[in-house]
Parts: sequence; C-alpha cells; structure tokens
Amino acid sequence: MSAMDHGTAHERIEDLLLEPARLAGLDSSRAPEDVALREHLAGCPACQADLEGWAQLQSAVADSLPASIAEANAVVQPLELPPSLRARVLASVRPASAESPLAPIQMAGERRRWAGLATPRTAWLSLAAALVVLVVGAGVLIDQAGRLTNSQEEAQGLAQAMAAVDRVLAEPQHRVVALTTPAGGAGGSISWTRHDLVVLTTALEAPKPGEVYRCWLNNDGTGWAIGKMYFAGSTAYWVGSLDEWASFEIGPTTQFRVSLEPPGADPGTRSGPIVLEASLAS
Amino acid sequence: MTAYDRHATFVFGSVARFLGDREAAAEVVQDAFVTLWRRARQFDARSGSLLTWLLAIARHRAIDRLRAEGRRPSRDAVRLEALTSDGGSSGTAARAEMPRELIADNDTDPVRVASRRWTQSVVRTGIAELPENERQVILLGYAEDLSQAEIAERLEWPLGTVKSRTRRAMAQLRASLGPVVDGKEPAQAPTRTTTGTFER
Repeated sequence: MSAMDHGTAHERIEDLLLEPARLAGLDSSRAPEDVALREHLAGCPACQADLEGWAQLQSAVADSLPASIAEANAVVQPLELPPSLRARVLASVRPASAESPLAPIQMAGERRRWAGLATPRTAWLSLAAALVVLVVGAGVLIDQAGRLTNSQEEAQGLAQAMAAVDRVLAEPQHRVVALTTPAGGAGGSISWTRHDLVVLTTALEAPKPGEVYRCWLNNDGTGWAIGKMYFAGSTAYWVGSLDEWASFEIGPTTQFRVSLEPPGADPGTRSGPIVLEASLAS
Repeated sequence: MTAYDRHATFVFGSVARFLGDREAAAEVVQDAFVTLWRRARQFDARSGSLLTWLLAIARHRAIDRLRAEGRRPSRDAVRLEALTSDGGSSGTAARAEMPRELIADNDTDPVRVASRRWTQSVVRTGIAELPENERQVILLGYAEDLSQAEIAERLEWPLGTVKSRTRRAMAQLRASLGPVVDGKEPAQAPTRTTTGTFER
C-alpha cells in the first residue's frame, strides 16, 4: 500500500482540479505531494478511475469553450424553456398512458349516455369515430409499409386528440366555440376547459412543404405562440393543456388564431395570414 | 411531471444548442419525455441517472432529425430564437442572439462531428446551469486560462472563495455531465415511437 491514503489523495486531486494545467502536469511534476499521489494512483484503481474522470471533464470543458471570454460567455447563457412545452408534453403523455392508442375511441363508443345530449357532443364523437375508422381502415388496406405506418401514426395522433375531446366534454364547465375563416365561414371548433384546449377543423388544406399552420393565443394585443396544427387525413388538430400555463388566463378578449406561416418563418413571430380564428369568450 | 420540472431545461438547452433551432429542439424534448413515459419500466437507476437516460434519448432523436434533414450540426452562426411574447404580426419578439459557434477541427466524419458537437452542447448547458459566480470562475479559468490567483484579482474575490467556487462548480459539472464526457452514456436507443403528433 502506498504512503498516501485515499482521503489525502482525493484532497490532492481536488487541488489539481483548480486549474487545467495543474492536472495535466501531474505526470511530470516533481513536487513531493504529486510524487506521492502518483505512487498512490499506481496501486489504487479506484482513485485512478476517479482522476481519469476528472481529466475527461476538464478536457471536455476546455473543448467546449471558445478562447474569447465574450464568446464563451455568450455560448453558456441559460436558455429558457418555451412556455408551451410543458403543456405539449403533458398533452402527449396523457393519451400515451393508455394501454392502446385507440382505447379512448373505443371508450367513446361506450358513452351512449351522451347520445341524447347536446348535438355538438354527438357530432364530434361521430366525427371522431368516423375519421378514426376511416384512417385505420385505409391504413389496413394499404400494403406499402411506409404508408401503413403513416396511416397508423395518423390514427394514433387523431385518437389522442379525441381522447382530449373526451376529457373536455366530460368536464361540466367545458365550453365549445366556433372557429371562423376570415370570410366568416365555418372553420371548425374549439372545445376547452380550464384544463385542456382542443382544436379540430377540416377547413384547412394540408400545408405545402415547409409551410406550417401555427397557433396563437392573444389577449389585448399580446400573444403567445403555442404550437402548430397537426394533420390526420383531412382533419387538422391541436391539443394543449391550459392549467399548466400559470402565466396565461383566458379572459373576455382572448382569441385563438391559426396562421399559415411560410417556409423558414420565425416560429415565435407571426408573419403569415390568419386563416382561422375564434374568440374564446364567445 | 416531476421529471419534466427537474430535467427539461437541461435537456432542452442541450438539444437547442446542438440543433441551433428552438422549435426543433422543443419537438425533440417532447418526443424524449413521451418515450421516457412509455418506457419508464425499462429505466434502471444502476445504469445511470434519469437525466443521463433522457439525454441519451434526446441525443438519438436529435441526430435522427439531422439525418432526416440531411445536415450536420450547424457549423455556422447559430441563431436561437426565444419564444415570442407577442403573437401579433408586428409584435416584438424576445430574441436571444447567439454568437458564432465553431467546431474547432476539420473532421469530416459526420458521426464524430455530431458526437463532439453533442458533448460540447451538453457541457455548455451544464455550465449555463451553474450559479452565476461559479460560472464566472469556470469561464475565466478555461476560456481565458487564468490561474486561481489571477481570477481572484480580476474578480476582487478572496482566493479561498475562488477556490471553493471552482471546486463546487467542477463537482456540479461532474455530477451532471459525468456519463456524457466519460463515454459511459447509456447506449440504449429506444425504438422510435410517435407522439401522435406530426405534420404533413
């Protein structure tokens, strides 16, 4: 056993860590404590592995920082999470927790007690069931693997949106408002509670390559980019969770908007035309 | 969502730095957390921390994305847009203009370039997550190559304070970055799953 014990060895390693050059110079150092450390390391694989870990960290830090302090400072500025991301993750994992991605739709078929209730519910559920059956049915018939996968994904995505509709409609305090086109035509619906917001529309054409339909919430001229519309067949949808947005309250002037953004557009600033909108207070 | 609250900022920062695209990074992070949710039973704490596992998933997703787009991690100026606070057409967007980030070598192997770039992105995120005064000593020590005494003089801090902050910073970086920089990052690449949200 070497003369230096583990505790002293680790203290010495910690000292060497203070400056990159000191650790790198360990092998050639003639300082008595470094000689003793080398002797300890030669007989101690654990301390040797620990030292190697520190050396790799120092090397990685040195390799990651530009030589100029101004540039280095800039590349390590903290990046804030998009405020909507938590809601998006939450919206995705809720349906994902189901045993089968189509389970919510099967459940929807069992909810016969809604049959005699308000027509929007019946219409939405019928639409949902028909669309999913259509998409899945089409997928089964398509023998090309890629297209089948795509159809299955579309069915799964739409099923998740329908599961969110189920949650919204099950809440006594839910609201349903109509989306309209700039010309005043019908453009789909938004259903929402204080927890979830689900947008469904068949009024949008699939975007051209590079284009994207972006969703916005606006309050008195101030707005938030909250994501983009996704497509399943001819149905476009967006699902989000509102109760996670501590900084946003739906008020009497809150509007939901969908814009068609051109390729390469800044995802945080609307530059394309509004194609659908609705007042959430209506 | 505890895992999200604890780790999302770190994972997002790493992916956004790697891809140079906040929106794409958000999608990768969303995908990573959904994968985590679906495969939580596969997580083995003995093989690494949850953050390490998430970073491994995110790394695969981010590289898949680059591969699908047929590009390398950006070598040129990277512009990271902060999410807007104004959705109006003439609104002012809060933006964080990131300076040029250059890959220092001339490696032509895209796998090695991506691997190195990923490590740089994660390390930078680790440094970004440090408290301000610990970040300062790391930057001065590694970017400016100052000794502890020189850092103490520059910042007008006692030498002991500089040393203790450097030690804390390195320990924090080791804890969060260890498996990434020492090559022990989990090799698992979960089967691609879909979040059910995609665009045409």
